Amino acid sequence: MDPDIQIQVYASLGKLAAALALCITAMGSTMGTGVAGMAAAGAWKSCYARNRIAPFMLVAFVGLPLTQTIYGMIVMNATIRSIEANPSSIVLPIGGLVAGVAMGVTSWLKGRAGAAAAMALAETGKGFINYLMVLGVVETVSLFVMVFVTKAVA
Amino acid sequence: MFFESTSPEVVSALGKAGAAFAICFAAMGSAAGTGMAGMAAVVAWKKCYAQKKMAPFMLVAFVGAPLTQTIYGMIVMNKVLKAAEAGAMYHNLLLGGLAAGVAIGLSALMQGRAGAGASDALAETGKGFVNYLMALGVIETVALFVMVFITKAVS
Repeated sequence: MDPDIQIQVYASLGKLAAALALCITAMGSTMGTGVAGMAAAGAWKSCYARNRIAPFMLVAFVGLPLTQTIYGMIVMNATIRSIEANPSSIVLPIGGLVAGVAMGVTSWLKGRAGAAAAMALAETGKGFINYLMVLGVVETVSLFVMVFVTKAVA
Repeated sequence: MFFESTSPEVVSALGKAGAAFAICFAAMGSAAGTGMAGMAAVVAWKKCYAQKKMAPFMLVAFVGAPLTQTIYGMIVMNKVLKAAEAGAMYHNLLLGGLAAGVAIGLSALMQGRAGAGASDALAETGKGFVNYLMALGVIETVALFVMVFITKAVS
């Protein structure tokens, strides 16, 4: 293959890995926010049906898996920077893709934990900080992936 | 081999296929989302009429919410098309457009599922419209982020 074309292909494949890092993370975020959103709607319904105060703070549990999409964007940018600096290697940017999967799974599971937290808070009205701490721990996994993988794909 | 072809026509066509994937997968998600929310709204209204309660017209907002993702898909499609017409290599356009379409479509699907729950809840209790809408807005934001951020990777 012509060396110029080869560089273009490598750059294109690197950008593909970057796009996948963002999109797979976003897929996890949609699953997470969706699951938590459904649970929050059910929890609010049960509060209204029993004439109890519906805690607005459930929105926080729904919104938490959104942050991973931002982390996905940061990894995507690092991957693009890496491929622009060294377009002859496609191996490194693939780390961005794997990071996307890791962060997407974290986001999805955070949404599931958020769903349980929403049900629990609506039923008892207590423990918001506890639930938030647990979700924070799940979040930390993706934060670690984002920070550490940025070094690996650089 | 097909995927090693560097003919400008093939490169451009494969890039454009990515643009088509972006809008079509987003639209599939929208179809599934609006369909699910629509079915739930019909059942919720039916329950209201059967119990001689007022049927809240605002359920239409929950049914329509996943529609916006098709617009986001179209915006991504335009970006991919622009890059394909400028002669960019197709790998990131083809599969990046596909991945963006799937992510946006999945957001529409999950928004429709949450909208279905919201329809049922609003029709039964008559309360919490703003809460449900906020939850749907959060799910929508994921698709919005994908649309905005993907620009760099499919250029």
